[in-house]
Amino acid sequence: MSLRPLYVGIDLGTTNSTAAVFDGEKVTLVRNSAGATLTPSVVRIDARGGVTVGAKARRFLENDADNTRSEFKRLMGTAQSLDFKAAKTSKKPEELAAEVLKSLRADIKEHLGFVPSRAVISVPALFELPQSAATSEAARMAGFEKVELIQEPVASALAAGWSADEKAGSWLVYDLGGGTFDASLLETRDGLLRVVGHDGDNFLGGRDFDAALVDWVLQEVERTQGVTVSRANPKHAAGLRKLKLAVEEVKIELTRATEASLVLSGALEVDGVAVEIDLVVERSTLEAVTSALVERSIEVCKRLLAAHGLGPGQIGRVVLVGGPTVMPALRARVREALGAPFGAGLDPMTLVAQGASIYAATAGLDARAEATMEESGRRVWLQYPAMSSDLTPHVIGRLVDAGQNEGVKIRLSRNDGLWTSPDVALDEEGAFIVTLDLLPRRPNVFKIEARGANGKAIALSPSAFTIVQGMTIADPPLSRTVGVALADDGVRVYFARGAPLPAKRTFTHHTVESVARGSTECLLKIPIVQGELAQAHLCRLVGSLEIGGASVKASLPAGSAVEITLELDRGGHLSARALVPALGQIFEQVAHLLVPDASPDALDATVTAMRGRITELRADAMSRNAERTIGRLTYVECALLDAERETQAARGGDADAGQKARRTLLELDGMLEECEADKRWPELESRARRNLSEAGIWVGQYGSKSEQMLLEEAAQAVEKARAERNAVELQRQLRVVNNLYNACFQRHPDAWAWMFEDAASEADQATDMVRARTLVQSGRKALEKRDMDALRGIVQDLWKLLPVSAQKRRLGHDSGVR
Amino acid sequence: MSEASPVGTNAIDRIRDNPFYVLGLRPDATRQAIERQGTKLLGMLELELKSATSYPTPVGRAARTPEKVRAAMAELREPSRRLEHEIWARLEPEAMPAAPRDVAPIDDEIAPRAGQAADPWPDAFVALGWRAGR
Amino acid sequence: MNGAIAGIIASILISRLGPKNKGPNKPNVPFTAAVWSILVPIGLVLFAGVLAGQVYLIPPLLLIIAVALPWTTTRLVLIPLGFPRVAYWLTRTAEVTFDGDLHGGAVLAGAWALLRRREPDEATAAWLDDRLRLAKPQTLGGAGILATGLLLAGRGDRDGARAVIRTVIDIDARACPEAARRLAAAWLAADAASRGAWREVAEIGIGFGSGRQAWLLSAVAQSLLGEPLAPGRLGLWLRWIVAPNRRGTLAIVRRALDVLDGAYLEIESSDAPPAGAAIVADDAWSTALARHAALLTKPIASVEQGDLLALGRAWDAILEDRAAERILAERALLIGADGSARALTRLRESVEGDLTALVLGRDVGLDDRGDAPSPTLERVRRRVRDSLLVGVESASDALRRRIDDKREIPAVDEWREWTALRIAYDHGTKLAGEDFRRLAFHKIHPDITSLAVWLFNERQQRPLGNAMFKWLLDEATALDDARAIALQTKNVACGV
Repeated sequence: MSLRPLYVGIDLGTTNSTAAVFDGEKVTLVRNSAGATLTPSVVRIDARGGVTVGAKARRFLENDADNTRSEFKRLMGTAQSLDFKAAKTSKKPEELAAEVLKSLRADIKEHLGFVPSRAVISVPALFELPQSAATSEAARMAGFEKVELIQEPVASALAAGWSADEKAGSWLVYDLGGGTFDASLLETRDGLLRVVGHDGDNFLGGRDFDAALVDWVLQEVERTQGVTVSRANPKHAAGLRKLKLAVEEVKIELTRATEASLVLSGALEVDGVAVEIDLVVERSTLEAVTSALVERSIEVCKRLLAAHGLGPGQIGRVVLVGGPTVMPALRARVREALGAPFGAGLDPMTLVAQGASIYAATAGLDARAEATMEESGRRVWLQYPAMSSDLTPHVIGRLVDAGQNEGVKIRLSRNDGLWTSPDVALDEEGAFIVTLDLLPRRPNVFKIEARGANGKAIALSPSAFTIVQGMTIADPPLSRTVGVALADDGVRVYFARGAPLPAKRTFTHHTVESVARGSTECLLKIPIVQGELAQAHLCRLVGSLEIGGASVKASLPAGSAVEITLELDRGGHLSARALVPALGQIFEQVAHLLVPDASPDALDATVTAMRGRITELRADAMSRNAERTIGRLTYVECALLDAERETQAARGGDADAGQKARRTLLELDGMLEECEADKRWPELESRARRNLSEAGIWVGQYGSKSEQMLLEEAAQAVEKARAERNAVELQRQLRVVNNLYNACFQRHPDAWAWMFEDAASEADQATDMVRARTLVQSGRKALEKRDMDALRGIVQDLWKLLPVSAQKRRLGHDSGVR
Repeated sequence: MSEASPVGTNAIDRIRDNPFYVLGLRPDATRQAIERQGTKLLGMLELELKSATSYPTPVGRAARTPEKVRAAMAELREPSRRLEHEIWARLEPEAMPAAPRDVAPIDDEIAPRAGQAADPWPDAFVALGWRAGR
Repeated sequence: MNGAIAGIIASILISRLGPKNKGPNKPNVPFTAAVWSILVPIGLVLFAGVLAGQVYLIPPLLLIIAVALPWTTTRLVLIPLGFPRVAYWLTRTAEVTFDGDLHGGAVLAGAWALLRRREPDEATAAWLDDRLRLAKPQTLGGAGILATGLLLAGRGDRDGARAVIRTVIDIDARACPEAARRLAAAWLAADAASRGAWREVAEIGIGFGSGRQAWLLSAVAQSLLGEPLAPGRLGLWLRWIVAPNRRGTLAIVRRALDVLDGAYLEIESSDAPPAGAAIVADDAWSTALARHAALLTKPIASVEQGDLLALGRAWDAILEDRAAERILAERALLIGADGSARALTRLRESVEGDLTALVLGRDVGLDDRGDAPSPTLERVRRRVRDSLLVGVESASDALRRRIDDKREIPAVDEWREWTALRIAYDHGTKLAGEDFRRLAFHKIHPDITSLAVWLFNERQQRPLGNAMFKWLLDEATALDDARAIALQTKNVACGV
């Protein structure tokens, strides 16, 4: 076993997984039993329950799809189980991920001679809490005692930064993964790496490149053979899977060759017809069908740079990460568009794992099991950064066992013998602080010695420690804002994006609903959401605390204070606690910490509803000539096509596609919401104008002096709210205006007669038609007799029978707090 | 205020938990000094050294925790956020002459200060027969 | 002896049979008179027997007294001894005392007896609570509301208790027994005295109608506050003699007498400078920060309008000045921040947020007097109003949803929910003035009316509905809202 600490990093990828080991000086990639550094993230379970992982399993993907699973990473954090028919078992995504991790762990044992107990695992930047928590769970199942998570772009940048020579500058990490695209702007200064900004497209990835090529192949098949293959048809799913694998290989081949032949072993069975596929794909064809996708990624990069006041050409370096970035056309286009050189000698396929292992050093996660070497002597408790960008960091120590501390002197020396600290005396707590001197970019081993008052040496345990000097990143920052949804659909932010983990925060809220003791109907929800949008219903629900009538000691009236504490650990585990001071009770059962299911029917319904909304919004935007809205609607419409395609694939049995569609739809919902807000404002404004002028007439004629003054004040407030574009305030003031209007209108001798006619005209929509008809008849009689009091009663009864407007949309995840 | 609120539930925390005060530094500290000091404090807190467990602020001494130190370091790494904190850290940490008192709870009564005469009568409930005496 | 026991049994039977068809608000004097006409002669006979030395007649005599004077027995014996369940059952027969809310009166007796126990007893508290909410629907009246408050006080929730007990006065006299009113006043006076809120104590007990105890305490409070109209020594002693718990109140009466004797006069409050006043530095930034820090460390109750104005102006000197932006921009350049605009915006937000929290925590609003208005304070005033409005609006929306969904909660909880909404409304009116009041009223008027109508028509909670109508009418009148006045006048006229 190594005497120096060793740090393990794992890239648990959608397609392939990689492990790397960092010894403080260099990073070594771990090879699997087949001698490769990439282990396919594929798991097969045979009829006897035997588990195969990696390349061996991948071979069965085509012919034994029922017992072989891949791309389960995308289902992490969902309740979806994957079936293995022959073994008659089903496994959760994290169980399959655990199998991959176990296999990597075994490879590391081969490599290092011991089983690693601690590691850092990378996760995509867009992972939400349930997905991060599932990843940690997978590591636990694989036997790791402690893991920390790091976002993939940060890991890539760290790896690139470690090997870079320059000390300062801006970097762009262009990370095109299997399913997502992430662009991260980073900055190095004084050896410290900082994520300056982040952008991305959650719907753009290598899969889209494959899909584009598959679509081209299908078009070719249709053109030459007249056979239509549909992604929505479950019967075509097996054939499509086969085709997809072949296309993937062709794509890889085309990175080296200018043309490749696409030949499927055996014919595709489509509706009983055998379809032979034998095509020659040219590199130019691949470039043509994917160029729009490349442009989309470049747009994202430009947007990110612009948001931070930078233009193309102003960044020091671009780091490419992910399989698709080996495409020559893509590389050329990115270099041209961003005007910066690529980091030299960086392997886009393994960079993330390398970065994760370097991060393990920063986090002090030595992979060796703790207390492997027991030394004799007085116990000294040491605190120092395992990895430091600072050349002169502090080491703090404390002699913890009972013993004479008076007169004891401590001295530290670097093992190259070129640096020794002065003698330092212990303070009254038995502690000392020494400033060290590090040699740059390497592991520095220090010896620690103590002498008693009599000058005799005192043996210490441990007697040496290692600090690696190099670029560091401090704590893994939170990838998305976490907060509590409020009753008015707002969000109280607890941890903003970029906040260091672990974190804990408490805020006081107030309930807006009563919880009656013993009532099963009363349930106060405290939804915990994750996302960057200000409206709660557009953020992802990641957990929910519930205070139910059955669990409270006494009834809790609306308006009661609730102190909510959220806590997040480094592995993405969220814990929440609600303290109700009035009851002296604590509630901490967090419910629903899963990514919701995405059934194709529900997705289809959402797509249809969105189409309706788009049509309506477009008509309105056209009439207003609102160009920005029209542009946004066009984007939504295009993205909706993607979502529809994914939904069809979900119907064909691809659960992962369903999840992708669900995410897309959620984001598109947010965009449509913005368009609707754009539409609502002019409507509200014109209503305000109309109501004010009508109220002016009636209040002028029938209002009292004070009512006229009130209207004047309200009119001023309406004007102010319009100037501020404050919709909430405008609605408030409109309530006042309408109230004055109604009061004065009803003073007109014929007011009730008009209102009766109005209500009578809608009587055919009444909930009780018979009674409504009787009321209308009595109303007519009262009208003839000019009995206005009776008429008024009849109208009010009639109103009760008319349907109320459609139920308000339940926003804010039904939050019971504000 | 509850003990479980390391940052931000109270307006006073903006000053009390200002990263510069938490780290015991002044607004002109260099980036490296911030990192070095933060790492040192984290180590001292881990070793439970008393000298690291509290720090002075213009609104009184406050308890120092590893969470506060980590948050402070993260805040100061971002130049824009650092600029905001620099404004609030302009006062010297020991500037307050009087011993700071905790902010009274919101619903506290406005008691007229007429010497001891108008002081509360804590035994009222017992004396008036609403509660059993001790 | 047998006759006596038979008489007692007969009267108990009558009292069991009697109240069945009696509405909550109708007195049942003839029935009580009938019970008494049996018990009094028997009692007199037994008493004579005891006087004649027949000691064995004492227990039946006591039993007769308990049945004839249930509330007096409960008040003087069962409550001080801490027997909640017996107190509850005996008070169920106290028709005269708790006329209008007998059931609530019984729970009240139980809750009070429970408070007198040394050890809190969760099980009994829950049992009493269940009498109010889980039993077959009972009309909740003033006594039941007071009982709820006492149960909350027993759990240590003094704020909740105070909020509920303050509403006893809102219940129509026909559903709120006089005893409940007096006891509520006495509890509120005790609560205010224990907090040192003597002004409140003085107001609670004005006039004899609020009960002897509150009357005494009011006089004591007036003396402690040195009010010119405070009753003199004789007045104090007179009230002390009349009021119950003489031994317990002696100390506080003595304190009041000492004030009359001038013992406290020289100990006036010192005009100590506010904390941090010594550090007013010469540049605008430090001045504003020093004032800000000083104000935050001040007890919230002693934050005055002047403090806020001074702080607002100190911040104006920075936030309304272009020089500040320039200074920040220079610094931003030095440390690599992307400009000063964001820092300045966040500074403005923080300052306004803190000032808003300060104003919201106080009990007095931020009126816009003063010669030179402060732009910062103007924005704070708007924030205070908006935040208070959002509080009331979201509570009102939640209530509306519940009414639409017909999700019932027990009457006690309905009342507490309404009370919470009203407290938020009153607080808003106090802090943000008439503008808030009008906007909030138009929002909650339809929702509260629906709640009140629901309680009144469908849920046998006419006293609660009536109290809400009355409040709405008062508010509508204050706001001169003709339509609401017309509607609520009719609603109030429906009675209880």
